[in-house]
Amino acid sequence: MTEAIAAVKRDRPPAGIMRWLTTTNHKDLGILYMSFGFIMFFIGGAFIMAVRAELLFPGLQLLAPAMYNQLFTLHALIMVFGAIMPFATGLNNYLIPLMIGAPDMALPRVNNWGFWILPFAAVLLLTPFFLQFFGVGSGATGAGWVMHNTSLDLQSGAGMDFAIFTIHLLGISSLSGAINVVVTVLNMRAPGMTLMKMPLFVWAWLITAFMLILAMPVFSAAATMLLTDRHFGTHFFDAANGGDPILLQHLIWFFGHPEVYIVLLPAWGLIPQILAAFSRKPVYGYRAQVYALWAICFLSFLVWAHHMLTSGLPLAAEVYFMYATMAISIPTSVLVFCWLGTIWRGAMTFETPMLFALGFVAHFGMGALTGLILPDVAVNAQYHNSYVIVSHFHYTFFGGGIFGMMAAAYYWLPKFTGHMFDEKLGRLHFWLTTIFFNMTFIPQWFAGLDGMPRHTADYALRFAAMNFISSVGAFLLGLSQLLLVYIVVKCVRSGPKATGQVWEDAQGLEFTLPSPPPYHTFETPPVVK
Amino acid sequence: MELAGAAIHDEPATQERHPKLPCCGIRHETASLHEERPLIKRLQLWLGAVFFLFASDPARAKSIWDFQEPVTPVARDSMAASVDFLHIIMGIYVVVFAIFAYSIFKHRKSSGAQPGTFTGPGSRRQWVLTILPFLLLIYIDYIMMGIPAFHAIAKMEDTRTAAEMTIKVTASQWKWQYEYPEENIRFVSSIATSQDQIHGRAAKGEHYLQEVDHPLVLPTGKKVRILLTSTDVIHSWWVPSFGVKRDAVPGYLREAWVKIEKPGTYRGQCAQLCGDGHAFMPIVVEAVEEPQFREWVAQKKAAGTAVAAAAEKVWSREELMAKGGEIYNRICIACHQAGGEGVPGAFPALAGSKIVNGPFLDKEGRLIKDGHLDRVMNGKPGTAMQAFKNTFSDVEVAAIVTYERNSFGNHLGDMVQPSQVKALR
Amino acid sequence: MNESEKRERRTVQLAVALLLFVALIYAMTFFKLPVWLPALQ
Repeated sequence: MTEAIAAVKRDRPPAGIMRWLTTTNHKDLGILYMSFGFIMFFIGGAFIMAVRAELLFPGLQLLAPAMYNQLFTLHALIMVFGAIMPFATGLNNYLIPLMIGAPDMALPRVNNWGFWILPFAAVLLLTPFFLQFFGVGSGATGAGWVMHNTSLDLQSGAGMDFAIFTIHLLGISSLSGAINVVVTVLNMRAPGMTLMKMPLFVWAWLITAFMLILAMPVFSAAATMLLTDRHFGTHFFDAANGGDPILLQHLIWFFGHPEVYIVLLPAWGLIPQILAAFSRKPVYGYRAQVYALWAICFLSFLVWAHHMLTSGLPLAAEVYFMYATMAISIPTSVLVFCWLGTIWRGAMTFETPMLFALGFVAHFGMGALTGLILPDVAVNAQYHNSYVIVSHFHYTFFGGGIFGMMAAAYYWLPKFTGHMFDEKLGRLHFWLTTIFFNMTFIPQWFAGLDGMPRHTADYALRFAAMNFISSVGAFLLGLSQLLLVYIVVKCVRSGPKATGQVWEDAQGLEFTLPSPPPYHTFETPPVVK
Repeated sequence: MELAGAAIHDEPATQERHPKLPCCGIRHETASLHEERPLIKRLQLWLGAVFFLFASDPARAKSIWDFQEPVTPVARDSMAASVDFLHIIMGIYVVVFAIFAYSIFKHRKSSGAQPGTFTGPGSRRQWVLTILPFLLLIYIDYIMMGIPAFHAIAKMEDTRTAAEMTIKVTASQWKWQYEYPEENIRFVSSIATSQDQIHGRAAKGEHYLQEVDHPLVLPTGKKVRILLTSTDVIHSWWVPSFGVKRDAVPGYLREAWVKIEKPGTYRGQCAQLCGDGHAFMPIVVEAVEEPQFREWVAQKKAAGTAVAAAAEKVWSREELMAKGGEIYNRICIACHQAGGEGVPGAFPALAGSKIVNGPFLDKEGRLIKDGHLDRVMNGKPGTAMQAFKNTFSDVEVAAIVTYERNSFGNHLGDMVQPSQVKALR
Repeated sequence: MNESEKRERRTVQLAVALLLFVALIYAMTFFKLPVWLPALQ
């Protein structure tokens, strides 16, 4: 114990690679998590570029269907578990102790393990994919990220087992992170930092952590059941032996629906803070937002089967899941209302983080509103598993999740690096991303209305025009993200010195520290009035 | 409540549903319940203008917001509900983001705005303005949308009341088997698009990927109850024009129904990711008038008798080879590939295969376990190789086995007779 | 016991409680959900 304390207290980290391998410092781990998420964002993006290239024209040109299935499955797994979640975890690692005036996370060593599991999980997931090019095995899993089709999972090759082990590792990593957040937030706050004084980002992460703790074990258990079905003779899901293939869908979506909010909540927490800073106003409806976030957390566990409304649930279940799902629109619109209240009658300026925050509101609004009609069971029969759904959830995941993360990245990048980024390029990046994002996903909506199913490597001629526009949009969207790499690398290396305050009206304890903050901060807790 | 009835009634598909949009010349052909809807009309004009580029496809005579032409009561109702609510959400979006846009243009530092300090509604009036949108939202959710949706679901799920005939759909990787239990008809329907078209070696036809060898034939004006199941993985039977998408789950029986109002050919496909052939699992339904349907039933029955008779006759090798080649190129090629080389790691090769080149019957004339004929008839559990005796006729099993034993460099010279297959079932 | 020791103890107690909760959910998924969920069929 004394040794650990000594390690934490040491002023200077060890040099070189050992610093990153052994670090228990929340800032170092935050940077590791964020860098990992950043890299995975581009790997997942590269995979989907290949998918869109195949879909550019009707007919099979580049990819065999088996390869196509692997690519979109890996794209989803990587983007959700490899890019957005680790990036959000990195933000919480770096920022929560600073925001609540704590010296570090409550369980620093657990924090280190939590991160270092991730690269191994990623390697495990991708190994079978790359091995197939050397003639080993049949590639990674191609069953879709929610593994909706149990029997298909039972049939597929070793790639599925690799995915199952990856899921277990990711589960351990996220759960250790979540427990760490709960313990830190409940026990480590500076004197005077009452719960209702915490920044919304901390609230959002506390709630996210609770959702992870309730949902993730179910996902891990479902993966374990799949493993025992495949190799140890159990029959949870195997219809041929009296199992229930729909059971897996229930289990996965009991996790999968909260997972949607696990991805989004961190962004919902930080957006009002960014809007408030650039409107030079306090956050509007702080209490209402906290309660709305809790309401969403609660409701998210009661609506999972709206993802399986065509699977033939009984009438009563369909009606229940429809009405329960509609209820989510109310707390969600409380949030949107408060975002509007936050910028209303402010004195706005439009630096890059503010642009991304406003872009987040505009795109997430579209995702949320399209979600409003999805629970209607009769209409859902036409939307489900069509490109309508693909378009809808990318408006929430990309338009919401990724735009939110980008807003956060630009907002705190000067704080992390001590340099201002190139504002002109940042704005250019925002506009390119916005234009090409819509160019990619609006046509998908209309292809879906016209009857195009998802997950298909090839499509009928009536969908050709929409797919062509969408693919071109996707390529340009992918290309414009390279600009982000340039901006970030340039900002890390050089740039005008950032002040501690960074932005004119940025609020919060982290902005009372110099940029970048010293290796150890708040060893004597600040007093919050 | 103007929209409350939107999803409950079926009315003949004669009235003009929406007015003509001047901007893109689109005509809605489907039925309406209410002639006048000024708000929606105005919104359509707006949105039509916004989405002019996407919407200008007059050849299809269908708005970009529509589903494929609905021809059943359920499809018509769900399209009406979908179009209505898409316009309502676009309306909400436009209003909310008009307020956002106003704020963004008005409340900027550069125009000298002084930031407020409020953190919640202050006055009574502001509280009312805060609560109102939520009441409106609850109204839209639970009344405007919720009530018609409830009736629509009840109608959609009522597969039995007044059902006039039943068909059974059995999905397997990657084809559909249709069965008319009352008529004792059963056949398999699989994709008819050639591999050449898919791989760009031939021009793509008009119904590329949406054409099958044996379409499902249904009578118009009759309520048909559809029972669905699967032999391997979960599939989903989706025909957009019918408003039906229902999963076919192995081990379970699912239900849906259609009452087709207009003769024609309707196309759909599997909507649940079901493996490598997921994109190549189309559904084609020919809807015909009752007399033609009876005629088709009679023909199909006669053909069934002919198939049974064919199993009795002794076939020559040439006949079996020709038929086997045709079946191979339609069904087996998806996994085992054109030259029988398979896909390493995923699907085994037939060329030079031990199983194909081995014996298939023992001395007593019984199937050798895991022999060639056993594999074709009973499949290999846990893989994509399914029990083809369920979907193939005796002649087809005999033909395909004979073909595989004498192609791709396999020269066994033997053959299987349909009568043998019949005896081994 | 001083303030920081108390805090450390609370931290460990809370972390262990959450860990047990995770284990409980994991076990319930195995043994109870396959029994409860088919009611939704």
